[in-house]
Amino acid sequence: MHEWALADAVCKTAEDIAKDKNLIQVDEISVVLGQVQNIKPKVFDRIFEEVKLQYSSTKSTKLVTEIEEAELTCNNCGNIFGIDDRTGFEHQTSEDMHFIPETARLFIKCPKCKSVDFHITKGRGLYVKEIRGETK
Amino acid sequence: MKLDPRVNIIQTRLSKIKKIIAVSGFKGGVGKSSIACVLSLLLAKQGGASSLSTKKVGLMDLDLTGNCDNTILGIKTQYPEEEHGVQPVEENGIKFISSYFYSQGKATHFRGDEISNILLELFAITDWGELDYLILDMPPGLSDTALDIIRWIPQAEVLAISTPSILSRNLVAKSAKLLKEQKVEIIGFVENMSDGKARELDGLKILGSIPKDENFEQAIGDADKLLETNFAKALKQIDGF
Ligand SMILES: Nc1ncnc2c1ncn2[C@@H]1O[C@H](COP(=O)(O)OP(=O)(O)OP(=O)(O)O)[C@@H](O)[C@H]1O
Ligand SMILES: [Mg+2]
Ligand SMILES: [Zn+2]
Repeated sequence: MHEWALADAVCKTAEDIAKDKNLIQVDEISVVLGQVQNIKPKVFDRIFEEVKLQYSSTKSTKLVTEIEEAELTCNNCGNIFGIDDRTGFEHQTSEDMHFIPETARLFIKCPKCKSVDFHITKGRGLYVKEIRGETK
Repeated sequence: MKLDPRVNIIQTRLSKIKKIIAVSGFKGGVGKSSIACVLSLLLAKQGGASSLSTKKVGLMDLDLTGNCDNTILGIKTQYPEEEHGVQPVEENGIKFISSYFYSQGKATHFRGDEISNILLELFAITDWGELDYLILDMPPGLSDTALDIIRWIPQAEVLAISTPSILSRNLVAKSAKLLKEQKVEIIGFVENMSDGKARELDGLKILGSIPKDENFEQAIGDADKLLETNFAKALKQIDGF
């Protein structure tokens, strides 16, 4: 699971911040999962529960996840568009975007002008939105 | 707040790697990828010029819009496996990772910020384990990739490649000066497609030279053939890594 590596990055970040901000422990961490990367909250949750035990400040951290929908902005015509789940991607394409969201550029075109030159303005991948804990 | 957790894990992922070498050329087409691939093969299969013990080697193709190491090495594996992160593909005794695996053979057009994002992702999720060497095949120039490596992987040492051409030599000299100012370690430079008269380059150490090898093209895609080329034989003499 490559989610393991990302969960590890999240916990390491929480650990670093806990030390920096003098937190007793990290009580709660909010993670945003981007639609393009398509990490399933349930999968991430399960892996997080395993990974968090490796760091002293995250042993009892509660994880809160939310999904951010994709917003793609065309560099050519300025059109802003999303990814329609109903269209569905080939399995391989979903996998490729799951590992490297930027490969969306190889598989999607701007619906308005058909340009392949767009960028992911929202919902790319995973980021940490909030880390909470009481100070010592 | 919007915190990118990937940056914080890069050094953990690289923590069991003894030496990271960025094969850099500054000018395009001077032989960076060929040298990065053959150097990886040599180290993995025969050790270096001064030591015959084989090394644990990783190779990363960082020319994201022009991946070609998979072609040079004739990589057959379709997709890297995942376990605790992405496991590099293992062929010819080298651990290899490239964004090529995720492109379905399509052209890869990326802008600068996308390149930075892909680099971050690859460094954050690739599980190299223990390595003697991680070889980075760099794209030409001093743009996003080079600047990101300086920022995130300051321990990477530069192996500069130049041809005898004044165009390439000028760029290497200027770039090396800047890199030194930025506290980047430069191992030295190798003259590729050499006419046998490799000349000193503005205080940069000459490590050796590789002649133009008419038979190199025929060996592309086959690791054993690559190791038999005059190109590989010349590269094998070069010490200093
Ligand atoms: N010593 C040599 N003898 C013969 N051919 C060579 C030699 N070195 C490199 N080549 C050939 O020159 C071409 C360019 O080499 P290569 O792709 O390794 O350069 P590069 O610096 O990585 O290019 P880029 O800047 O596009 O990344 C290739 O076709 C390669 O096979
Ligand atoms: Mg190259
Ligand atoms: Zn458009």
